Amino acid sequence: MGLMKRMSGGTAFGLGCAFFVVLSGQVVAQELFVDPTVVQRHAKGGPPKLITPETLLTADPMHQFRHGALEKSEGAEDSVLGAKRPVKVTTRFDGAGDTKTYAGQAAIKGAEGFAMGGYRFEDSGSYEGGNGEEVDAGYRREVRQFVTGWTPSPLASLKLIGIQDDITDEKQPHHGLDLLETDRKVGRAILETRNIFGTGVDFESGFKLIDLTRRADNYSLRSNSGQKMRVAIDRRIWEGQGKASFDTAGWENALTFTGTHDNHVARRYNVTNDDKVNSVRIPDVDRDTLALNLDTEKSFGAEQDRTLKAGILFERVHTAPGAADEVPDGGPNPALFNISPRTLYSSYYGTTDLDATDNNLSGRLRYEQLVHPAGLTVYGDASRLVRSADNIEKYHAVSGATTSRWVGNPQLSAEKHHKFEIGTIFEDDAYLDYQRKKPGSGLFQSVRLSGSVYYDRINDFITLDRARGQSGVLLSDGAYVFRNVDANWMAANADLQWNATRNLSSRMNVTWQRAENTTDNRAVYQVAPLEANILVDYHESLGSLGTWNVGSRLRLVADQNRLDDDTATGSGFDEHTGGFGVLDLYAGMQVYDRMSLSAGIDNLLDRDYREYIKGNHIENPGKSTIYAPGRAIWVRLSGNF
Amino acid sequence: MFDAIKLGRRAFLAGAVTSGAVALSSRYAFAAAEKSADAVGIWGPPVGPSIALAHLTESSAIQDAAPGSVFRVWRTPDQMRAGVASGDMEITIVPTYTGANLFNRGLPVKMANVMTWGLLYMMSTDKAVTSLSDIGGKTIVMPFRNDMPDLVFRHILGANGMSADKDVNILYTATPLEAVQYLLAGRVDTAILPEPLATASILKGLGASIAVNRVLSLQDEWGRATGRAPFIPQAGAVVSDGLLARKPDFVTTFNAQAARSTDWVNNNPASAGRLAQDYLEIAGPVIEKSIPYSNLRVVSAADARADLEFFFETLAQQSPDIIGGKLPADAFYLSL
Repeated sequence: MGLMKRMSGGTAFGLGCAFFVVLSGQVVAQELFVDPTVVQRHAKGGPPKLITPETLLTADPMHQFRHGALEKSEGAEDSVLGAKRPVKVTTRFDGAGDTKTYAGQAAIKGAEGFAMGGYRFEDSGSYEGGNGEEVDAGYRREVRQFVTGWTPSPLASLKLIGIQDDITDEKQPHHGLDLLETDRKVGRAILETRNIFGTGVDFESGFKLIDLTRRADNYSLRSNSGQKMRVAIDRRIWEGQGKASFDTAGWENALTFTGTHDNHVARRYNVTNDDKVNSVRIPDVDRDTLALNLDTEKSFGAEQDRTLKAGILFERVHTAPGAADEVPDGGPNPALFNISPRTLYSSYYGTTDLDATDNNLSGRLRYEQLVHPAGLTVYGDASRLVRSADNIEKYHAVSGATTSRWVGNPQLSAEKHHKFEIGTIFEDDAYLDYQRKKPGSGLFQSVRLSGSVYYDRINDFITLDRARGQSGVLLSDGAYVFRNVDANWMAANADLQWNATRNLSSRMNVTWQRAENTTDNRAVYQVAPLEANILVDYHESLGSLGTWNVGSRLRLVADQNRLDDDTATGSGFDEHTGGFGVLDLYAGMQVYDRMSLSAGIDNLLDRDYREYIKGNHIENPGKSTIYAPGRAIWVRLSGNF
Repeated sequence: MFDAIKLGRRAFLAGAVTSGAVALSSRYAFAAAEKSADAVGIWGPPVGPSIALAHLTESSAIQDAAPGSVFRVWRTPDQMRAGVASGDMEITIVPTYTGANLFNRGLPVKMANVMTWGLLYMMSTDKAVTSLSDIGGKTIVMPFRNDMPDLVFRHILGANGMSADKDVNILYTATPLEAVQYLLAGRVDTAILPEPLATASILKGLGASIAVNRVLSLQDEWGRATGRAPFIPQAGAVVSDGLLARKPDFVTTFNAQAARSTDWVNNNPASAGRLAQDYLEIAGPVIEKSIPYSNLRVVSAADARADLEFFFETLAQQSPDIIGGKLPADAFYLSL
């Protein structure tokens, strides 16, 4: 009672980002220096990113057929949605899919606690592609969030976080199934204690539970006179983590212990045949992971201008399918469908031992040097990250016609990345941020230029492939399979930000990557083509009322001519889409930092283009590419109270 | 320019370079704007009214009248005095009584306006303290002995039948920041703080699980104690005689734009916070939350003269030196 009384008092204050540590990969550690989760299954599909409290109001409506490596500037509305006020609301209309978005967030903070609640709703329908044809897409999405914390002293705090992100009736025009429901619930508790018993050790412990429910079928959202099928996916992940932070001889150390239990089950049903199971897609897989991580960091030199970071991680990952012997009984063609996962694994790989244990050792070393007085930072980063095959790669067991089968490989070796990166960042003294320049500085005195290149030698890269009787694959029936191969991955990124004046700024970002499957001497599938994004932004005060801004984003994507598009020699995953350029214009104004109106035209020139990277909200390598929206307006109205 | 489906790598790079060049093409126009002999040196301390001057120097009204003018921050009284004496600070925000002091000591300055009507608050971590009557016997931390906040507080106590020497124990600090540290460290539970430090103490307290409450406004208490409006003409802009001679019309433009910029700051506290971050190097949220308590309003010195003289006289009753021993002459109050 006392706490709530104090929280509802005059000190109510918009919450900072400190407690928005909601859904990072780790339970308590915001970021592990050695983190194998940064490398995931290549071209992985699945639910879109969760909307966090930080992005609840500002996130664009989800769209899996339109990408972009650089976000547009937030413009004048940022001072409305970013204001330190307790209640914020926003509503948006997008011409692409007649998408309506409504969101609101309320937060209070007192000396001994805080609380935040948020809600967001999106409703989207079919849209017109740049080629003039209607794309039968659409979805509804509801997000509910709460975050609360008890901060009785600077030395201790308890935070509780709950999020539900529910996407319903999401049409998948590039695939044979639509997603009726993708419901994710995340619960998280974090206890932080500092300077325990005066030892100087800070300790954080936390627990996270993720519950995923997905339902898909091929008849509810589309006409279907043939076999009616549905898919049910259920996954629950429990994770506990403890982290101790302490200093020794000037080294800042963090020792982290993580334990995870993951249960994952998915079945496909033949609705036409009494709703019987016709494929045990994920056979009730249990995955248990224990991880011990030690990170350390120290700065050297009179001005602390040299920093060395090092880390090591040991992981033990044990996986076991609980329903590998379940034989489906609902297949339209029993000989092709009614096959247990164990039989599929055995047929394609000769594997009989389905349990697997990986002992993974990862490590990383990074050195940064600040060069005086140039404002230049240079760094080198070397790492070995070891990633165990995920549940799809190991145990997927999609039966059916051979060319649409998709069979995981229980005995896949863990993927081992050996990555070497060098990079540099130059920042003028007068550069504060993009669109923030130190007053009084000259035309070219507020520039930030950064660039990096890396080379990643990947041993046992887990690649999608077609069964052709290649090494380790016993059949040649064209089914989708997973194999270990070796691969090289190279990438470069350059970013230039220039604040010409305190009102006019421009940014250019270029990314390039190239990946080669060196075992098979072919390109790795779904590697993004060369892309550049150019922003030009102008912002200005609006009399005594507020501020306004105008801006443009030009996105240039080159043709990707390194394709894995032949099912006879590779996976056939890729599809040639060509290069394109898309220009977006946008503007906004706000009055009194209380209300803002933003609007824009996406794809001003109504270009017809398809993204090379396929829509990835659903798992399947057999997806096609879909035209992105043509010219479309959007309008957003936001306010705070 | 960019074919939708046949953009090869060569065309891609050409497009990227061309677009970059377009972005760079206007550079000479901006360079010209930044190199002007007409610039006016506009200064202020890192407090609320200075944000209005930062906004003002970016306005077209000021840039048309004095191209290349930039707002700069002074951080110590010595720096301010040296700047005024040398003429570098052609316009600067100072406490009004400091302006009177400078004028009476013969420095070539005039008062152009009053920009804030009081920034002083009593802050406390003791929930039992809700009014002046609750501070009897307490230790109150106060920045600077015999400075304006001290004199105002003493006057208010006197008007309420209390003595600063007998009924409370005033602990003086060398800087306002030190007073905040005393409060948050728990060495005292009540302090007199100016904005934006009063707001900063609340926000810092939230991070340290300490509830710092804004107990009362010294402006309100001043009004009750004096029978006048609840405002203290605390700070404003002084103008150098050199600027008045060099650009006689500029100060009129300055005062008009200062009023508009002050309205902008009051109306747009979040935007003002971001502006303050760039100019004053104070966290934006602190400024944003402090603006409603900063009583920002521009009144020309001539129009504010009655309030200023009453304020000066009241201060001088306790410490004549604070205004240089006498009320400023008529010439001090610019009529614009």
